[in-house]
Amino acid sequence: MGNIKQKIITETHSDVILNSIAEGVFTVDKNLRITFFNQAAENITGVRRKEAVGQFCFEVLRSNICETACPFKGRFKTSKENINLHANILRSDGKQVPINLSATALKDEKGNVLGGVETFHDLSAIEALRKEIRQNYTFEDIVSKNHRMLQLFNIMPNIAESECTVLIQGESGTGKELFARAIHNLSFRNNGPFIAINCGALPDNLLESELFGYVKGAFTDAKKDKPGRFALAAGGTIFLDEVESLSPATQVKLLRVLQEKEYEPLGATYTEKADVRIISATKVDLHQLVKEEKFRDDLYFRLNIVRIELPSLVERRDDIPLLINHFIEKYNYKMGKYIERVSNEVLELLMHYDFPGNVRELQNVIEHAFVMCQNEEITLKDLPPELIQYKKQKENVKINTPPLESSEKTTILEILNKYGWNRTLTSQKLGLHRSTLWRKMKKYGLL
Amino acid sequence: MRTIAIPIFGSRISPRLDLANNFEIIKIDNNKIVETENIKLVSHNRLEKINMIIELKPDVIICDGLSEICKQEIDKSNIKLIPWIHGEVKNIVKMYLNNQLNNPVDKK
Repeated sequence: MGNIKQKIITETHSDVILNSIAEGVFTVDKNLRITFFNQAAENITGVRRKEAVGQFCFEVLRSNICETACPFKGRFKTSKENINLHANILRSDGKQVPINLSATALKDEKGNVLGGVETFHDLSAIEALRKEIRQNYTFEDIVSKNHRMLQLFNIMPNIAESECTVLIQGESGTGKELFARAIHNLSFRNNGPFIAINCGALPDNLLESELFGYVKGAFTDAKKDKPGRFALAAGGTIFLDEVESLSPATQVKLLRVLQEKEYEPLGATYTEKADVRIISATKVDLHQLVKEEKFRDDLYFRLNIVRIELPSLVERRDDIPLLINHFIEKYNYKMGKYIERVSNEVLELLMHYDFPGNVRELQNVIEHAFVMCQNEEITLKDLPPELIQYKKQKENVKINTPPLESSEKTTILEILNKYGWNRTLTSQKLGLHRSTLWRKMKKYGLL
Repeated sequence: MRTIAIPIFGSRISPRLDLANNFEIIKIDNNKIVETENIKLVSHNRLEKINMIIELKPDVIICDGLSEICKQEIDKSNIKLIPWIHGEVKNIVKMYLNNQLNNPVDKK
């Protein structure tokens, strides 16, 4: 009698304890019917305890892995735990809730399987926080938390408000046009048009007529007047990409626009006013071209009133996890998919890749992976073949690093990956000062 | 003649329409089942999956979990939706034929 009373008290205590924790807990019998459902499970799923008990767990949680990768599947035969799985459940209001779950078999004293227990917690708040953080690191359409980029974000409104010409210098794929658009959007000209033209994409004779337009009869095929890009950009901004490709003749014409704020369309006997702000961009060192007398110095100084130098992606590696999440969100929306993350192996590979094509290349990698990926996580097999090849090559190279340093590098890398390359959290976790962590990251080529 | 599409998981209604791979297509005439067909619709893109279902042109979809996005897509078509129903498919079909799907939970 005493034993029975003790058992009842223990069970009541267990219920109280399980109902007081923030983590969702439920148990199932061997047929996956729910036998216990705690208060937090009720809060997270929106299903009341008395309605849940007796139901199949997959009809209460409706998670994305229930049909294909049930965490209890096979667990009743083995003692193996299924820990830390990411999933999402569908509440009865049609909203999906991201969760993290663990599942294991429930056994009696003799080891006989009684069913299973699953614990899960709601990741909505973390996801919302992550989104908020991401928003703080977003300037117009540019995403970054890198200190050099944040400095640029700070001065961008001042640059935008002035009417001065801007020269944006950066490797291919670093986001020169995005910056130009951001300057336009923040400027007083934002109600006017933003016209972009790639000076390197057109032959010189065509470029001149594209930029300044022509009048009927200017050349054989000129059957009627055609306005140029400067005319189309009136009241707004013109963005001249690859400005280094301009021929000496077009450079002279552009210089006149900058000095006199006027130009003549091809074949015209009149002058047009140019009410346009000019933002130009180059992927080469324009000053060097001036020194080599391949670019007019007077034009260079006119274009280069304010210069923005964009770092390559390798110089802002700490942005890679943020950019990956940004592109995952973008392509989920665009392609109607629900991919949640990249695997740790993929993140590690992307963190070490050189990205000659910079952010555009990273974007292409994620887009490729979206086409190939068949579940919620992008894995190595979803990546373009050249990246896989790169990984194999890296693995084949014998790294001549002493074992102790090698393990230190691995530990730092693991913690960096775990905390999304947040150096403050990583240094705290490792018990290092931030500057020491920075030195070690530099030493091991992790910057 | 009416056509009903039901996402299935074993002998039960699949917990989520957008994630179900197997569907039972039931043709009903004079309130009697005249044809039943099981089909597989596999796509890892959920919007594509929904469009595949819509292309089947059923008159009615009986399903369990229905995400907001799926609902929006299906609402654009003329298909009648009876969501949040769970239970054995054969019992649910019986209940549908008897006009009893007001009390959707079949606990068996």
